[in-house]
Amino acid sequence: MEDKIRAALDNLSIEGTDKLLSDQLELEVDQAISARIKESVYRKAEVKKPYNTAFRRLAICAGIAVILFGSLSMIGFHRVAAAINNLFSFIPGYGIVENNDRIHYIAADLTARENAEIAFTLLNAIAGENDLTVMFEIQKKNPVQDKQDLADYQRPQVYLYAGDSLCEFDSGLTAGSESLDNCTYTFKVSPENINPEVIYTLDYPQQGLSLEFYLKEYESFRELAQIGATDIHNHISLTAVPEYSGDDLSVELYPINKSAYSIYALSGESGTNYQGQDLHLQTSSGIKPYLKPASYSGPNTSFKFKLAPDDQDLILKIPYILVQSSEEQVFKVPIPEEGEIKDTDIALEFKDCIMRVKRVERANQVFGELGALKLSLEYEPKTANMVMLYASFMRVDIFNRIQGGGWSAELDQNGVYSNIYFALEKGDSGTLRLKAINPVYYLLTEYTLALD
Amino acid sequence: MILITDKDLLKLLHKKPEKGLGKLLDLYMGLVYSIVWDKLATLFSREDIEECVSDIFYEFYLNLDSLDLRKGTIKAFLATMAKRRAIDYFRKARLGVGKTVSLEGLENIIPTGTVEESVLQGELGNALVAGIKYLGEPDSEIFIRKYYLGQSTKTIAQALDIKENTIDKKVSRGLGKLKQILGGAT
Repeated sequence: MEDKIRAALDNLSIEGTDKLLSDQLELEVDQAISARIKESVYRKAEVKKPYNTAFRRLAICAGIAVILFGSLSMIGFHRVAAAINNLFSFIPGYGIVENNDRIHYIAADLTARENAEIAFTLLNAIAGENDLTVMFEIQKKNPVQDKQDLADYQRPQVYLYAGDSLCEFDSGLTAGSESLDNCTYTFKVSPENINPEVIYTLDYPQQGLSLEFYLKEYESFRELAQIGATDIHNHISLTAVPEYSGDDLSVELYPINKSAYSIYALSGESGTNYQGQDLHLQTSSGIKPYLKPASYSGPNTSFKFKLAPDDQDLILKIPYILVQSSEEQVFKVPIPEEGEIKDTDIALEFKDCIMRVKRVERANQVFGELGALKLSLEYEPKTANMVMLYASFMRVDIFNRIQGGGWSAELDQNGVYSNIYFALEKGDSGTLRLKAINPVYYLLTEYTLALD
Repeated sequence: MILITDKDLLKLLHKKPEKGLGKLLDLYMGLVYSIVWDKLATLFSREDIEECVSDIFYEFYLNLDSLDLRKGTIKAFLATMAKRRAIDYFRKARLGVGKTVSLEGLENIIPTGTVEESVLQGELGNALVAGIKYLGEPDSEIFIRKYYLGQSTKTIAQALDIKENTIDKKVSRGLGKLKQILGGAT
């Protein structure tokens, strides 16, 4: 009977097909397949594909990365973009540099488009030899108020075309609120497509909006002195822009990070100052610490100082910054009996440092009646000027899937995590499988920024 | 997706083909691809399947002038073309004949055979469609996906967010009902 049904449906008339398919059917096609077929149809029909319409090739290259949300890398976003806008008038965030060939062009025009739902604005673009980083914001006109809806919110799927070519997405950062998404997306672009003759299109097909722009060279703009003091080390530049109000000084730091790390912090966080040092202001009347902010999200980039009336020769000193590496190491530790100390010497080899778990013991006074496992750590730095502060620890199963786990730490006199207390759970015995991820380092190269 | 009437879509295809084609493909790619894939997946490569789908849309575009919306919707025309083309490809491949198929105009997509056979086929088809629709939702959709689009139970379950064994039960009951509705016709 089923074969007969299939055969009958295979031979339906137009009218019969109409009746059968009268209701809406949700049928999806893989976006890459869809894009290829569309390309083929347009080619056969000899019809040119439009630019500024909802139609787009939706071929998404395999290299699209997960968008990283908020936290560590979106630093004073608006001000970075604005500063780059100014700084690119000279050389963006690099100040006085020895090697200025990393940035070839910046956006020639900053465009904006909007529809009933959003305003889509290009804030800036930076072109390297074979990549293009675009900074844009999406202002939502009808922001989501319901928290449940926020949980389902999809981060912007925005594509970049260099001429006709879809550029491969490399990495992206998004920091958002209910009403605003600030995004920095980097795309791979072939070198021959990095030049001022190419028209670039930043396309947001879900909203039917796109922004077109050209690139321009940056040498023709203003001097650095109008922007702020800049210092660069380890491919991370910091530019300081001061603002004075009576005896109050507010310094905004604009980092441009071209290193292999993400910036974790620009100053010591509470309790984690390296050897007691921290960002400070050197003045004619002495050293001034910054006023701790009440709260901030992500690394603090704004530092306030109280000046004496005749303070001068202001120099901002940043003895180190904290950077984070995206790495992980899985390891097993024995769970000792109460009162027993086990020497382990487990080596976790990260790119810039070996973290050694030297000893393991039970700590029954920590984390309630089940207690904790105390891991004593030592470090062997591999990279000059980099001292590991810590790595995060998580419990994992035999398939290395994260199972969570609470932990706390003790710091040594250098402000480095020396002991980790990892909470034990009911049923823990024998060995505990852990993962150490995303190590954070003190990058011990001092930035010196003489303020105007 | 912004809805558009068939009449407006045709206008768009004529006056602004670059936009019209895009809209047409956005609206019906899923349906055409599903139909073609069901018929050709066992014998043809991904590239051939995509080529077939692309040919169907191209053929539709070439024959816009002969499209008569009084006879059916754009969806129905495309779906029927997809069935014909895919079945032709499949038969030719099974027979070892080359894959190229001559273009057929939209006016020719009518089942072939004797008049009597056509009438009987048409009657059975109409009765079957009515029977499937009579099953009500979601059973109707399950039957369309299974027997018209050739989707697996797993695929249907995922699409409709229904458990696989529920799908099987509904199919089983649906077949029983169809047998009653259609009498000895099937």
